Amino acid sequence: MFSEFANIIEHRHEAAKKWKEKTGKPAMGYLCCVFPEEVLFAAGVLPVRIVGSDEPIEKVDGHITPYGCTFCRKCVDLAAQGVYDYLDAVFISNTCDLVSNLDYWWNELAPKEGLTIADVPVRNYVNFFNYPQKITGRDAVPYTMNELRKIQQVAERYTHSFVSDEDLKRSLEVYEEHNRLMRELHLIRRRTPPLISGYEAWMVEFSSLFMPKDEHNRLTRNLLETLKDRSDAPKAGIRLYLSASSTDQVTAELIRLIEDCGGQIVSEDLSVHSSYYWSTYAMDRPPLEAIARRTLSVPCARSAPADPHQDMRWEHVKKTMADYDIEGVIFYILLQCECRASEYPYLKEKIENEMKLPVLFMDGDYFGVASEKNRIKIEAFLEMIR
Amino acid sequence: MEPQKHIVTAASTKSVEMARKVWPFVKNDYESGHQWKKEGKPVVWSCALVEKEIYYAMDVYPFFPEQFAALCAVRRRGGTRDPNVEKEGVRFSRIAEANGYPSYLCGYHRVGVGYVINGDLEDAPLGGMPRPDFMVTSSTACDVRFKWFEDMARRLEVPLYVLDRPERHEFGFITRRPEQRALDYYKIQLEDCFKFIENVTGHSFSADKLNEVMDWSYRLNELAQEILELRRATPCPMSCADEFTLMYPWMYKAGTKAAYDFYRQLRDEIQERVAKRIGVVPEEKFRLMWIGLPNWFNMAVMNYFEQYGGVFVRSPEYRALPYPARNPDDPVGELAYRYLFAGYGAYGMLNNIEEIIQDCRDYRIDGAVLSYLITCRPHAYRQGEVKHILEDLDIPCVSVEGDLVDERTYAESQVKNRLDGMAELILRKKGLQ
Repeated sequence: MFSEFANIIEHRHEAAKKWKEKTGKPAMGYLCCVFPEEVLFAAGVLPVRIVGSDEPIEKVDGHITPYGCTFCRKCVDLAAQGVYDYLDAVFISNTCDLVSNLDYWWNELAPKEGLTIADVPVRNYVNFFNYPQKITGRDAVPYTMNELRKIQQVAERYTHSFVSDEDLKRSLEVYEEHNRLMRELHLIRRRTPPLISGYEAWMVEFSSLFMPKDEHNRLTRNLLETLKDRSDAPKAGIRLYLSASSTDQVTAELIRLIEDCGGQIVSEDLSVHSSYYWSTYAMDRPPLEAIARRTLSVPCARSAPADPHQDMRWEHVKKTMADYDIEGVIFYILLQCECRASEYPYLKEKIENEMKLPVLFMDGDYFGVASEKNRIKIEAFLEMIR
Repeated sequence: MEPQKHIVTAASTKSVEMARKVWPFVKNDYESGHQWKKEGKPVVWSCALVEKEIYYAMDVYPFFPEQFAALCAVRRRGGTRDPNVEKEGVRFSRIAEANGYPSYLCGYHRVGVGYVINGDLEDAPLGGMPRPDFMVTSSTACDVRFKWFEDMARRLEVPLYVLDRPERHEFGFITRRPEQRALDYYKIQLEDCFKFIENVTGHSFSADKLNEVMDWSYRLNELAQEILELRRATPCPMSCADEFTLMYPWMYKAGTKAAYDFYRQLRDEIQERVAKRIGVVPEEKFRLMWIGLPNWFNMAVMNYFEQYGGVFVRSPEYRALPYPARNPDDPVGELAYRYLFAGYGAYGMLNNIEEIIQDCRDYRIDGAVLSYLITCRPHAYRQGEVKHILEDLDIPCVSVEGDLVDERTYAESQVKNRLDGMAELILRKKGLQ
């Protein structure tokens, strides 16, 4: 039932290369779920989420400090090894202290010629997306729209075409359906026991980051149909909420470990994908504005709304926990993931005091999340809940 | 062997007379701020990279948790000098860590939040920072500036304003001119900040008052640039040991006449030292750059090379980049331009490294010490790259690991060993040994 999604994740690079060969169109990489991939899709570009891998770091030691997040270091390491050579352009966002400097290392360790005319850049291989830190307020939407136009320009120059409002609208319709399907998939996890495990749900969501969204929508629609008659649903486990730093196919092993220990991740707040699809598009607005509003609605741990008494992150956690019958909460924070580590004490206090739920804190490296040490911690936590 | 109970650190020795006047200036500033609060006037907690002109134009007294954390790095509880009493920076860090904040978080952050969690804001050096009426922070330079202030504002139940300053002004390539759209955006951020302060304090914004304040900060910045130019002289008239102390009026009181007066006297003193060829050491043999913020708890390291005839002549961290000509018709627009142009991190790492290379040429640098601040990510990230590049330029480098304010991770003997090796290398290279 999930083999197609698992295949996409496992063979993501080959699939993207094949897609390029078949369509003759470019593929472009990006980091962070605030990135407006809808604009690339509208131009016929394949947006590819840059993620790491479980092989040891080879190339970036001596360049990026070991005191930086290993997930980010591994992403650039793969680029330096040539794994991401098939990408025609790359977008780096200013979404955390390390990510916002990755353009430098990407250029240094995995350079590719762009195009200049009279020394003026026309097409850059590595591009910067300046995403506001304050995601609401007087000028946030118009400013972001201006940034989106720059992304559109890059896509147009690589595809040698112009993106119309109609193209953007078509893209929005596909993404709107994608977000709706992801929410639908999420909401069926409210059932006891859920029809789908946390790891299976993660696979479905994560695989969408490497293939055209319309194709992924088709697979998800089929899956939702099939799930209705599922006879091999996962056994009931202790219902848990997981809040974690960058969760790609390496760190997602933690979800598998938790579920192997008898827990069941029924909802989550994960960097990489799950903060992405909770808002809907303002379809009555010009399409670029609708995209800007969507990207500004992501409750990323490094962002702030303009409200002087804002509590955005807690509101998001509360909203994604409501009605899931959560029995415990696990935080997994990658070492050096400062934004999540900073807010953890506050969120823990809120969860314990207002929701009266137990909290397990784990921090660790990107590699080896499914360690025996973590297994013991999880088993002890689940035992305590039982 | 009995384990070492405390870490041996010390303050730096100053060579410039005005540097000795900074501590009384700081004490007076704290006292005035406490008096201000007692009179019922508004106090803000803010960060070093926010435009101080905002506060002086709005009659608000600013305190800076980063500066306060640096103060805690050198002071012990009750003002004692007993080395068995741990420094306040360590005490507050421990409080934060006991409340769930990992030890790899920024030292400023841990000290600040530990101080707030401690509850008694007066139980700290110089009577602590007066309770704020509101906070203002900036998106510039690091994520912590926002997350830390968000956390403190929640705990103290005061409103927070975030000044969102675009960090790159051009798309995909580096330029020295802020992009117009980024300027427009940032001007709106500043206008809204003034409105926010009006709402919280009831004080009214006045363009005339802002112009007056900006005149003082403009002049102060001109003096700071002049001092930077004078410090290119051989022998160097003022070292980083003085610079890191003397930054207080420039960094935190920009926009006041007091800061301008202070720097005018400093400029005069440096001018005189250059004219009379008075250096930091009797015979200057080599010139060094300190790259990164210092370990505030052990500023004595800034004097360490003086025994070999070496002087830290420059640190690129606090650079007074030129401001545009005054434009009294649009002071808020001008303020936006100033800080977008001169703001930290505004041009990305490549440009930052290029500035360091240029400084090495301008100040004829023979070697560099890289302050490898393991909990200050934006500084730590670039150090490996800076080291490669400077060594390619035949400028030897050495790294000193530590925290900004928490001395527990500092290994003094290891640092001294490395610095000794570096001094010998440079002297040999210059044929002086």
